[in-house]
Amino acid sequence: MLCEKCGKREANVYMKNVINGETTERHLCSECANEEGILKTAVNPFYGMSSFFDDFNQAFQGFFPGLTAPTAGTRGSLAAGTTCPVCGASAQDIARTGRAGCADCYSVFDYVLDPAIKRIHGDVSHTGSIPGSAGAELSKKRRLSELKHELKAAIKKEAFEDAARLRDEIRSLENGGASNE
Amino acid sequence: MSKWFEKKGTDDDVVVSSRVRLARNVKGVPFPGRMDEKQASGMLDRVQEALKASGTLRFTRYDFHKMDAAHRGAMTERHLVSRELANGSLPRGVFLSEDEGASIMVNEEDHLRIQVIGAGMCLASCLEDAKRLDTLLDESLGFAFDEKHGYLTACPTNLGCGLRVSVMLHLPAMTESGGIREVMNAAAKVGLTVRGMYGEGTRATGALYQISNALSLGYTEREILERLETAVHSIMEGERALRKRLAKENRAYLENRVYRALALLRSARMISSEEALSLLSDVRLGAGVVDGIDTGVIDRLLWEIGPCNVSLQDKKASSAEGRDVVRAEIVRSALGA
Ligand SMILES: [Zn+2]
Ligand SMILES: [Zn+2]
Repeated sequence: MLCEKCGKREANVYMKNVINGETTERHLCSECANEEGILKTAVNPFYGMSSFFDDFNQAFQGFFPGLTAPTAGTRGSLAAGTTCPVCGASAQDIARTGRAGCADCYSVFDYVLDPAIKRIHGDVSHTGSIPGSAGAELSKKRRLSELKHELKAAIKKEAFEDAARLRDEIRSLENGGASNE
Repeated sequence: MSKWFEKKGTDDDVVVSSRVRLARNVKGVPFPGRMDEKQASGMLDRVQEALKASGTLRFTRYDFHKMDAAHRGAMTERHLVSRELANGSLPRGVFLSEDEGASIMVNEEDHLRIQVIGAGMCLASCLEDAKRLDTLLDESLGFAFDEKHGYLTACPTNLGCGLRVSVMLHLPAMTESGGIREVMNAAAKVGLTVRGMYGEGTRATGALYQISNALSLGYTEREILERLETAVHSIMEGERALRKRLAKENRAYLENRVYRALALLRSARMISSEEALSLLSDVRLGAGVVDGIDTGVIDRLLWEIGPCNVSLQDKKASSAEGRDVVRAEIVRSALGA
């Protein structure tokens, strides 16, 4: 930065005054500053420290090799007509506000939201923690498909006793029973 | 009971506070953007019931739709709630723990925003506390979730863990040397955002900045937390190196700046919040390199000198001038003048 008084020499004196909440800042070269009788203490000792940051920047990037930040994108095209049975939102409402109206909107309007989500986050799925309530449902879902698979196998083998037991287990699980897992 | 900011934090020469926030919604209920009044007050009651069912935790409920602007603003200034919650129109509010370190905002953009804040560098314990509250509330409320998107939130940017971790940093040497611009660029490249707490751009008032993760889908909570911790440590080392260099190369300048600011703060009879912030920052610049700098007192003042908090202290603080007088009194008494 050049001196704001003479406009010729590099500014190396920085002055900041706060008077009654009003801040004034000046950048001067040492000659002009001397002319104005500004005290030596006003010399900004931070000047010339910027080369420090070349190293800093390299060190910083070194911690995160190959990682680039995803950026937010624009919203996708819409289809008209449908509204969400829980919150009444339409695809247009979601596009206009950039917000889902309720949790169910994510499945009702997946054709609107999924492309937008992909642009914001990249092509990724959730890998973090699972809430206890959903965790129970997820393991129940997984157990059900296992049981149905076993039932098919049992019928094929004509193991009817096993099949009957499996059918009972599936029925009780589907009627709200807890998973054994 | 003492407040969270009265505790001594680690790395408090550079780190003011750590904060963790979880965005959560209840299954089968429209998000606040599409709620009616009845559903909104119903949500406040359901959260209260859920907290009561947990037994051990004591939270105080504040209904924002029944509070005046000064009381709402005071909580915003203390970072207990967001500006969006303070300015909303639906029945909404916050449940606040005794030490004000944990808060549950209800009917902001999402049904619940669980927030835990602590002094200094303490992201891991903040996350632990927030997850404990999360598990507890999920048991009675049942949070909306699917396998692909994670926790379902009103804004698609918050999908995944619904987690935002942030650290409030004091970076006077980085600011003055212009290095803060490099920090902002470097952070953006790894998916982190750095912004000034007060005022815009690279010359934030008080040299106070918040660094946080932008997104949380496709990462585990631990990964998000560790990435921010790594970045904060490298910024912290940079700020410390600059302060040490200044102390070595130009001790007179440094001490002059710190002690002059302290003298002004101890003598002023009227002070605006902006001037107070910038003087407190000058004093804080001496943390770790000049003797006798108590960051605890300075940081407590940060939460007490905002216009709404000052106006609640004294009747004569109803005008801007009156507030400047009361603010100067608060500052003088905190600094033992
Ligand atoms: Zn000049
Ligand atoms: Zn919906």
